[in-house]
Amino acid sequence: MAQRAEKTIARFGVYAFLIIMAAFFLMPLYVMVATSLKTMDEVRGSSIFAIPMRPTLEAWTTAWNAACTGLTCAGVSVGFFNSLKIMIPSTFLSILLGAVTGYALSFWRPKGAGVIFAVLVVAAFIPYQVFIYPLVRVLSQVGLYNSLGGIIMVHVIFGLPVMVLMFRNYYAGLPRDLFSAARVDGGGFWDIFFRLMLPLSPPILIVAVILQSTHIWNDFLFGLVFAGSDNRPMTVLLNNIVNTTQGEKAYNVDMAATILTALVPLVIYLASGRWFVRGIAAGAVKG
Amino acid sequence: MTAVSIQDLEIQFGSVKVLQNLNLDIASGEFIVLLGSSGCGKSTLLNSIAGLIDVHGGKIMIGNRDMTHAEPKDRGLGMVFQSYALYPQTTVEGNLTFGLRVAKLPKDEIERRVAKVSDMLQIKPYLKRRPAALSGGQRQRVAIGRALVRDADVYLFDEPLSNLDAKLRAELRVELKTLHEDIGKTMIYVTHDQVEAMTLATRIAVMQNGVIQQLASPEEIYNRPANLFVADFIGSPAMNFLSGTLVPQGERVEFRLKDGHALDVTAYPFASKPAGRTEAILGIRPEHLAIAPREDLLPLDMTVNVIETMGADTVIWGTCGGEKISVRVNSELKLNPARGSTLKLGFSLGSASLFSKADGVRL
Repeated sequence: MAQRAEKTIARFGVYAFLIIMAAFFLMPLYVMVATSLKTMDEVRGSSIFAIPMRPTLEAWTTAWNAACTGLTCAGVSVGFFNSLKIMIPSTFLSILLGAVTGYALSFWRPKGAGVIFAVLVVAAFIPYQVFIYPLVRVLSQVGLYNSLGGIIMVHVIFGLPVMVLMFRNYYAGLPRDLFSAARVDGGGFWDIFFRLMLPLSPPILIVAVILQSTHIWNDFLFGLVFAGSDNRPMTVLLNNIVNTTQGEKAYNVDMAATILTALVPLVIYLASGRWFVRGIAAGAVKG
Repeated sequence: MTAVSIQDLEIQFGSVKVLQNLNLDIASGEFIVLLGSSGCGKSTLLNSIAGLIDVHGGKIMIGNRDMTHAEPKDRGLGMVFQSYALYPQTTVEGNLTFGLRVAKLPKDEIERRVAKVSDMLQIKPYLKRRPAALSGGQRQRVAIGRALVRDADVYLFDEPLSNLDAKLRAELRVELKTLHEDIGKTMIYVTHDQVEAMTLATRIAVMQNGVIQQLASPEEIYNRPANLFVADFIGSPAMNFLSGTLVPQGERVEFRLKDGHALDVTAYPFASKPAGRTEAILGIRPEHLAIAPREDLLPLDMTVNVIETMGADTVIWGTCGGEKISVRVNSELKLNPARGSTLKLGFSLGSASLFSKADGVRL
């Protein structure tokens, strides 16, 4: 009996701790949602923790299609579609290239594979701010600076080291005999990749999609520097809304715009949480 | 029909030379078993024939074509792996047809081949299942099937039965033998199991340290081992070895054991008669030692130590002149000599082997 009571107390403590921690991390989100649903009068007149008395979506519609981002006043919606245009091809291309490179490095082992891999690993840890100026020069030389193609290329290049690392380790965990069997069976480089390795890759593909898409969506610096004024991603527009205000600061609109921008990665995490953890764990144990 | 010829093959991993100047000629339709303990280079040799590892010197000819540096897919081979290596994401049928689809064979041809092979190996009932839903024996059948549908000229087996339990292993062994007799293709089979080697092979290549010690028929390997290594490796319990000295006396040759006991070995089929006194080792298989001494047999005395009953046979362990020996007798004889007692044994020179002590080579 005593033991059971002890257990109950311990469990109570654990739950209390977890609930407090969860509340702590959820607090900013609550403040944002609450503020975004208030009018500016209410924001001014109440505490930031107060529950909105007359909830309204006015700030949300303003944030979506009327807030001023510099000279134009079309909200973050333009940025939403720009971000999609950047994210989808960048994610797809960086994963495809990472998978092919990882596959080649772990199974075909070309001469110098070890060196290539080492360089990639090191490159993955170099702060990318270092590359920005040289890259601006290179891209403007080839006419890709300030274009959609340019920003996609930048995302693909910088995503590559981590993608290659992940796929190489995943493929290193597959039995080599599979590869040997497929080679004797008549498979060439691409046959084996598309017919055998890719169908075996969903666990790591899902992790890669989550990592790359959220990473690219959340990017601010590359979007600001390389995308050009026609393709500014949502994060850059959000910054412009929040930082360029004339007169009164519209906190409710800022909050709504911020939540809108954060919504896509949030949905991706929530929808794939289980897979995300599974993939990270699988990647960590193997390789 | 395709012969395989390996000439002066050299393979190294880093600075370690695994195979050196290795030569092996395999006739068309032969069943060659590469036998040896792990690390002897047998799998390396097989993988080099398959084209899965790089060759650093020498030549590999398959059907009179130089395939030394050809891609595995161009060599016209089928291969079966110890780990089965079935493609896990697809069904048994998908596994069987993988190579055929890659080769873009017409659909009806693919269906015809799959039907034929799945009939032959009795895997039709689970064509639609995934490999994960099969037992070990079924998986290895599918792996064999995957090699067979390729309709290759040469089949390679890399310890295909090692992962199966004893009963299944025996079953599949017989099936493999039947299969070879039915299709008559050249087969190269790697194993460390001497029973598999003895039962399946038309010729066995016993390997050690990257060198083929003896290449001969199973009977020859068993009865006339070329050197001490082969003699010791093949047979269970292992061959008995008694060291001593060969002493030529005119026409006669005597073998003197350590304890002074002399045997007349004049009738032994020497490759070349010893010129002078030679240190030598006499090898006799446990089953070639007879319990009842007869006039025509050479006599040996054995001090009994332990008796092992193995069902059909009984193995008696003991010593002879201080050296450990064993005798295998039929259990029907119901022998039960007391520990420490002396057994009178006899053997015929025809079934014995003599090896040079210096280099282990058969005399």
